[in-house]
Amino acid sequence: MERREALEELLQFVRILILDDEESFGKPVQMRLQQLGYPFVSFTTSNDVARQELEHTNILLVDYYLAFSGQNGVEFTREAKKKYGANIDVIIYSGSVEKMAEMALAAGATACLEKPLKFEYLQLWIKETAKRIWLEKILNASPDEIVVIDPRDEFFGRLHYVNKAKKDHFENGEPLEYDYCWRRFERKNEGDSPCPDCISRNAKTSQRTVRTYRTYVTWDRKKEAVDIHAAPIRDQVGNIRGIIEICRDRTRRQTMEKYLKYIEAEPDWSHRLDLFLQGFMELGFNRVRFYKRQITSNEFIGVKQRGMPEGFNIQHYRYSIDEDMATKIISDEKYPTLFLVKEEKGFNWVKATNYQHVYKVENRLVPNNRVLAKIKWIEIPVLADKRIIAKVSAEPRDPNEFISNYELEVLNDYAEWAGQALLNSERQARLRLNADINQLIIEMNRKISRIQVRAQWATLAVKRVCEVLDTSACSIFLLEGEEENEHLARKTTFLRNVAGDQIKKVAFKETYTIGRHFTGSVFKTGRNRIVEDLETVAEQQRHGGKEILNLQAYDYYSEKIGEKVNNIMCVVLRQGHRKVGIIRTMNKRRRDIFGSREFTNDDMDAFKALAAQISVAIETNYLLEQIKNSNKLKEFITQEYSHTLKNLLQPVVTISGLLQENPNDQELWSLMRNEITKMKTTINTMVRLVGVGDTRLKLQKSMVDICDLLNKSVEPYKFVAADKGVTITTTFSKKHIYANLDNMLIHDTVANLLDNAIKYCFEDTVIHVSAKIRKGVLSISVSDVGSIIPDEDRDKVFQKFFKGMDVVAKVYQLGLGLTFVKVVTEAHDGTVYVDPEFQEGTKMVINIPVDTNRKETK
Amino acid sequence: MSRILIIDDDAVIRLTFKKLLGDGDYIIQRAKDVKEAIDYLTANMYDLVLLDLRLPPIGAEAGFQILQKKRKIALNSATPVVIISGQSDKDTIKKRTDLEDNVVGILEKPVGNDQLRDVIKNIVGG
Repeated sequence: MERREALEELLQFVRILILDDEESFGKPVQMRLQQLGYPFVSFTTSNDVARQELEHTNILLVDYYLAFSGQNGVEFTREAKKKYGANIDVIIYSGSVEKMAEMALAAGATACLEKPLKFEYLQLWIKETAKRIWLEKILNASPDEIVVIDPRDEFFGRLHYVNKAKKDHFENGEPLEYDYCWRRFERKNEGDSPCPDCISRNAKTSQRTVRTYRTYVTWDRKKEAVDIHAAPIRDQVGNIRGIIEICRDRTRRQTMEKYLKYIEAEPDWSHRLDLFLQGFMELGFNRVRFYKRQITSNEFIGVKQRGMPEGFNIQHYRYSIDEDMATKIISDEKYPTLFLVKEEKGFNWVKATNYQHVYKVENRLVPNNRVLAKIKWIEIPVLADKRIIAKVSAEPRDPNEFISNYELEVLNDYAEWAGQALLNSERQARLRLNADINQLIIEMNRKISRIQVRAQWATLAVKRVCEVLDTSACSIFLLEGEEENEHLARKTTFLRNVAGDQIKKVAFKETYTIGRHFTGSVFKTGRNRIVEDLETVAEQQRHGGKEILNLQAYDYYSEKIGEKVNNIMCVVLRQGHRKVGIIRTMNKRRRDIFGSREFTNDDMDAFKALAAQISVAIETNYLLEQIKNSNKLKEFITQEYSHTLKNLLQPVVTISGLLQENPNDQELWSLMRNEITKMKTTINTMVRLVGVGDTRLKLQKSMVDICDLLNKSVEPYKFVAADKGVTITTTFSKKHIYANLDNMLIHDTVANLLDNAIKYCFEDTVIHVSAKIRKGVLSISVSDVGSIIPDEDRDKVFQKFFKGMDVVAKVYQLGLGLTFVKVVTEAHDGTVYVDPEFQEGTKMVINIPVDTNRKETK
Repeated sequence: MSRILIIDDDAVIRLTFKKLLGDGDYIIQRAKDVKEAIDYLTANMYDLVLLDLRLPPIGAEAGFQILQKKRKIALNSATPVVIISGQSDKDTIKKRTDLEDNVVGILEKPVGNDQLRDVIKNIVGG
């Protein structure tokens, strides 16, 4: 039966009668109770009517000051109890309880409440009565063992049962005036040995105590302290028929199983959390906070807050504790499951006690009966799979009250259930893994910058790993990009050894860490080979990093703790069959606080799935970059070359117009020829280079006089050079140098070199072009006096679209000219290089092997 | 006689423009980069500036730099400017220029001789 249904059913048994001479008070109480779900609530101002109603009433709410002649509330109570005995519970309320409380309780009242009525408290009394009524009904039907659900513990769902032996014991051996057995278990070192079967006459007998259900008896034969709640079970006549005992330890497992089902049926754990917090509130806690641990730090962030004043700062809370005794408790016994917050200076963790300690302290089981600690504010860790994943804190509503054992128990259980709920949410998170990763890819695609894409994408991926696997650190290493610092360089070396691949550079690294790193740790490959340090290259090599990858999870071995824990997972990221990176996650949290975290097979599966998805993301990213690059190239060529061609066309257009007006101007004709030559060279360069792609140029070789070819190449640039005050000179080793070459391409090659030289040289200097042939190698050089190409750029200048960073060069260039030179030279099986020994400026040298025999025939 | 400053990095363009406009009608001066252009603008007062946007060493931004600096040169702050550029997107150029720049025309290369002469004649007369 669902708890809620059970509760509703219970309420059907409750018949409440309100007796008050003031209608203005009694009527609202009636309406409020009906609002709260009690269907049978009646109200009367007449004691005569009340007497008639009592027969069908379970609970009588009566005002102390009644205006009836000769009978106040206490007297009416006495009359009702005399007639109906235990079948009716009377609650007396008054403006001032102090004076009449003793009298009222003596008359048989269950409780005395002060006006204005607090309906939370009133409900507690009513629910207990409801439970009693229901239990009695069941007991009468079935006097043996029963299992019921405590209506008061709506959010606890405890299982209660009646022990037959105890029931008999009550019936046969004990005086009936004892409502219940009250006994405290005392452990060996504290004196009296427990006697589970006898009943102490020192037990409290007041109704108040009965109502609180707070008692501690020895029940377990194993001589363990068991917290048992006891309550009398009466028959219809009012005799005690048995006792209900509530043993948490026995029922916890069943309760937990039951709750697990609820939790599993409810994926939204926050709702469940709401219920827990409601439970806290109902217990009388005013301020309840729930903290969920942040994955990326040690901080606990409050996700729920009830009854908190605006701007409330949790650090203001404190509790009083005897420091010396607390220290003794800490040192004597080790129960690091409960943490108390101490002092006002933030969160100073006192690894003091679990609730058992608090229990002892609260019950003054210390020398001289001295109160050690009054717990004003408690914080309990929320555990899931022995891991602390959150904390619950609470404070009594009444500032003068302290947290009792019972409440601590409840808090502890709440924490446990909350842990299970959170664990369940973690499982849910894993199921959503694929969808989340797809979302990651979508988010990645939205980014523009390549590096930003990688960084943000990797950040998201790393966060996701941490969240899904609840790990504290995760790193992604990719095998390309820029090296960031020395530390990463070492990592790169490590990865190279681990991956067994040529890892050039690490592109990105993002690590989230909780707590400090362990020191003095060693890593083990799993085959009795201990690697001294993860980042020690030589050791890694010696002990075979590949094995680590094959195992896909390290065994972590800490000398400090002396135990082996699988807390590192490492998976290779692949693009097809190619290794493109490594993803690694590890647990670095503080073990002394959070406990160890071992990865399970489930974790490994999830991690592998994640790695596979990330691999896909890498590939997608790579393809996107390729598309972007090709679009960029297309845009570049369109813009830059159209501009260059327009610039070349402008003089031609102007000169042609001028020539129409003055056809005999020889200078204009010369300029026209030069410009057309330059235009032809540029177009050739572009068409040949862009069109040829990666294939070699096709040559149309013929026997060429190099001297003549160079002179022709120089001619169009003389005017431009002269504008800058630059002279172009030529030197040839012979008057005629013949070689079998592609005439046009070599011409354009030299033209490109000259164009560069004029752009980069200083004003009023000399550009020198020379050609010589020695041992079958034709050597052509173009040197200028001007800016020097840095050593690191000497090879790069021949790359497509490379532009030097030299600000001295007052030119705007495309970055294709020297690439063309290289392509043409290599097509002739030659080489081109920047002469490093030439220090005045730049000297480009082309060496081409030529057929020297054929020149003789020429 | 009107003074015209031609700012272009291409020596042949500078030369041919000079030949086109003729020494007899205008006083032509030529600058090949930002520094030279600013020097001329600071030293002399001009009736017109023919400006190529793309100049060494900074490329397309150079022309806009010259326009910015020209605003502060009292001698030529009001001098009209004709932009002659290989850039075909005139709207972009317009957006980048300001009223104070006094840009009176944007011509796309290659510019025909008659077109250039007409534009200059309309601006400076002669």
